[in-house]
Amino acid sequence: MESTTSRVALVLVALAASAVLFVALSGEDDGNGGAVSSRTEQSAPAGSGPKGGDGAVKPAKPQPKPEPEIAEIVIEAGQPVGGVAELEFKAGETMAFKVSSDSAEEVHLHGYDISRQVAAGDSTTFEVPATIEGVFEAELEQAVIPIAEISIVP
Amino acid sequence: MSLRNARVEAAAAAALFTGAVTALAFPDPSWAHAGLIGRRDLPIPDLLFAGAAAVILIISFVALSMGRKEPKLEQDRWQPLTSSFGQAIVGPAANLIAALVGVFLLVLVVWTGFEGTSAPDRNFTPPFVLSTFWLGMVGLSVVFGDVFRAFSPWRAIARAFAGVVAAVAGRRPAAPFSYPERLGRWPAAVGLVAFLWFELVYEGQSGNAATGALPETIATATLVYTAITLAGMGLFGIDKWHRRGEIFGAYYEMFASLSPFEIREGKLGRRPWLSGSTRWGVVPGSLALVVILIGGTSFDGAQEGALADPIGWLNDGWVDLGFEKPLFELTGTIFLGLTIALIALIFSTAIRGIASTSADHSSRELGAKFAHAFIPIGLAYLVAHYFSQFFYLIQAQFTYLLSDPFGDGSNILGTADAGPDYTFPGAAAIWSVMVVALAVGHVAALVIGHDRALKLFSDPRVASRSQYWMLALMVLFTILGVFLLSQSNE
Repeated sequence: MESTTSRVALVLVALAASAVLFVALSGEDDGNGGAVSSRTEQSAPAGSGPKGGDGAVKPAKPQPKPEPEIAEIVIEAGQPVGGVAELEFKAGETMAFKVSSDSAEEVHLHGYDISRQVAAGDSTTFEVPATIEGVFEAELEQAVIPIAEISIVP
Repeated sequence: MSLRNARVEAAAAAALFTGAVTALAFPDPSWAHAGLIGRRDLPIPDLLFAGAAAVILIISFVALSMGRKEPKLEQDRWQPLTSSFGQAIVGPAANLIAALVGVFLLVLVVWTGFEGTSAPDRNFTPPFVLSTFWLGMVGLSVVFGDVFRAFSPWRAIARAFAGVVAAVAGRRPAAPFSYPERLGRWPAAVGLVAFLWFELVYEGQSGNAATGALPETIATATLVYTAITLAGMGLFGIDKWHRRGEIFGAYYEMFASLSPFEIREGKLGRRPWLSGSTRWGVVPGSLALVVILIGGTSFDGAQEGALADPIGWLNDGWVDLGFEKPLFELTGTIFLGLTIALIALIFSTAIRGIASTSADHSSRELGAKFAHAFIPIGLAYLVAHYFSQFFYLIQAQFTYLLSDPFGDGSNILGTADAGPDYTFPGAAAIWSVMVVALAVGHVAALVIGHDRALKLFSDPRVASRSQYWMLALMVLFTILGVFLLSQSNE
């Protein structure tokens, strides 16, 4: 019967659609693993930024090692080495990351609205209770250069 | 024969769907910006996305099997309200107050824009224009009807001017030109693209499309737009231009067509929800408004998620081509245009599919006949994409932005130190609103589309066959909406 056939066609279209979407999603997850900065960055050992390296994640030779392992964002010539860092923390825990810079900068964490000064050649550490869920940006306030995108997940 | 056609068309639609979704399935954003509030929504988790998509498919099939036999929305069931309050709020006094509020806000936008701080998030103007007004008026229109008509400052100014001329000359000035009806809502559609470009692509002097135009740029744009609008009203008549050429007039009238309230000949009346939309799409250019609404919102949702990589690739490409820095605005313009074009292409494919089920209706005619069914989906896109941002910004609007509109440290209402509480709603609540909005919009669209098909096709079998196409199209748009949110969101 005609209407049955078209009904079947419709189901097929819908199934194809769902299949494509699932493939698209899992494909996205795979692609993400190889991205320049991964979402699990904060668990990576902290190290000084590899000079001229193309990935901030690439674990550099362990430095004299700071006690807690926190992500470090290295600013060289006013730009984050390895691009915008992607960090993720669980809501309710403490978000912690370190920013070191070869020039004097003001680092602004949006949403939480926290600013820290970094002197040239020095570093500053953010340790903030992760109370607000969402995606937040840390940027060099004067130059409006984003340096990190921080996800606080429930 | 028509069955074979339908099969071919179904295959084409499936291929198009696959292509569209694959094209949008790129890895996560790596580059983002903060906008007016320093917070963005987390992408919808994969599991919730899959669940929402499944639920939407199930709703659709259930709706299809429970299809009505008689159209319900198509009859005109408008009834005037009998309460004196109902008539007073559309009376001359209320209209005058609304007009004064509208003009006051227009003046405030220009004044604070030029005189206030140039930090877009501390100045009254950008949050008011881009969020409180642009999004808030959508909500008011859906619930209360075409309220913007009363609040429009341009309509108010033009009417006041016409009133003065009438008092001096002794007769009301007539518009020198009659509006070419075949233009329909096209001028407003073109204007809507321009507004979206200004909102989403233009960087202005801030050098950042997310921060967007500086307050003084928005003030200048407001003055330019005021001049254009008053000219249009002067040339073609105040109400004619308000409904056809004025971006906001046409845009909010579209959402107001879903509302249960409508004013006719000065009387406020009630009608069933959604029923007003059945008379909305007959004007040329209406379909374009809906397509631009869905396309523009998709672009905004995708530019930091699904489209982030191609956008980044093109921006890098400019540098490789020898430009000193990426042509960000040109990139944004290209992708805004491509997104709207893609939505239009998907639309026209499905409309051709419907046309293939019946020899009596051309696809051009069907496009106009079904345009209104997609208003609820466009509305759902807006809610899903902007709900949290609007919720936080409205708190800012009524605290520090109202008490310190110039951002100069004043505290007129004593609320300058208060601000949004970003801890509520949390991510889970926001995800729920997104998914529920898309599902509700989807159901409303199905109801409207089904009703129209019953009216259009005398044979119920043809009607329901035409609805497979509508269903596929609506499922596609709704799932695309959830998909975009699962990527990233602003």
